[in-house]
Amino acid sequence: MIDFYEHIEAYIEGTLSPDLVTQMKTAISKDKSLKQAVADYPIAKTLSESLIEHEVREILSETKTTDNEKGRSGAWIIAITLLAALAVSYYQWNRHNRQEIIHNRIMASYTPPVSEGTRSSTSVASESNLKSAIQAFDLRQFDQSKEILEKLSPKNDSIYYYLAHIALIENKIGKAKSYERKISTLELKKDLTKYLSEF
Amino acid sequence: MIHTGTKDIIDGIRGDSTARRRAILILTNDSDLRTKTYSYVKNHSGSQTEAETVYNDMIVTFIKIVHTKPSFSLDRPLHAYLMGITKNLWYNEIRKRSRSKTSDIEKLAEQRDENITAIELLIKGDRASILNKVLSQMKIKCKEVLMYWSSGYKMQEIANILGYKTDGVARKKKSECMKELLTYLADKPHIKQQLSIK
Repeated sequence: MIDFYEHIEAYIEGTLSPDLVTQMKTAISKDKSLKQAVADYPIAKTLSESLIEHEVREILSETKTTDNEKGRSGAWIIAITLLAALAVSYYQWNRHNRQEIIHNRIMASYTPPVSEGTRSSTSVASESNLKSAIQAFDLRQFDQSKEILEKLSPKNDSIYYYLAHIALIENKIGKAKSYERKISTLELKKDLTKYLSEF
Repeated sequence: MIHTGTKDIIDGIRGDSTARRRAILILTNDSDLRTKTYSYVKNHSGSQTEAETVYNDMIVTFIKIVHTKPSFSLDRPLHAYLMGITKNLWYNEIRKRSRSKTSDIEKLAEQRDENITAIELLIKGDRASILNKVLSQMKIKCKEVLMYWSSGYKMQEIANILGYKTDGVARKKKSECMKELLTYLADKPHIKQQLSIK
């Protein structure tokens, strides 16, 4: 039995033998599906011709998707980094703000010490400089006092005590605490701790 | 003389799907070729998106030319040939635009490469989505056999590539697949209408 479907192309192209053409025509007149198939054959052939293009475009689209995914993961990394930076900035800002509030509260009732430090020093010159620094401090000339105190060497409890107070006034709490830790005289240390422990 | 890499690409395109995929990826990842294509399109009033479309269409066109012409051989270096396709594609695109100046079209017409076979790209424009839908629904084996058959491969070649025992088995498979496709089309007249293939 002849499978007429196998001969549609040859029938359309006119390459079928005359005998088969006659048989084909008879079959088409009797078989509606075959008639439809002959009519649709050019469409089916064009669809088949699109298959290579379809395959290539699918691969190109996959490549594009992979690139996009790479781009997306890159964007995620940037977003996470930005969020982390934002969180750190917020934490620092919040810490600074909190420190500012505490500092303002302390400064509201803060009274700078008056000639609290021991003025003993290793040399006459140092003794004189320390005296000048404390006098400047008493006169609220903190910058001048600091400048002299920082130059003095070797350091002693008095120097650290005044430097800690100046740092506290300047709201440089980390620095103030570091000076406070170097003081061995309990009384002087205690005077600073009452303020610094609040931070 | 054809460069070994170029020969591999051409053999890959005419080989099985794995070899063809490899060849397509080589072309897609060719940054030098991409730069040349993008520059050409952008230097002739095209946008970045249009350059990307032309690059993809250039690859599709090249694959179709090689796949459908068993006797295909390059008459010049690969990049020069591919740039010829690019120029032809961009000329056709500019010609379609009503807003393009005649002088621009004439300039691009001079750069056209008439030695390159004109290939119609089918999966473009309005009918791309419906074509993709129909083709995606076909069985893989049918897609393969009909693809090689429609590209003009001999039944013996199809049997060798797809692993059928004889050319007769390949022919039978092609016939079954064609019948399935025709039945599908007969059941869905609206799809034929949407495709509006003349």
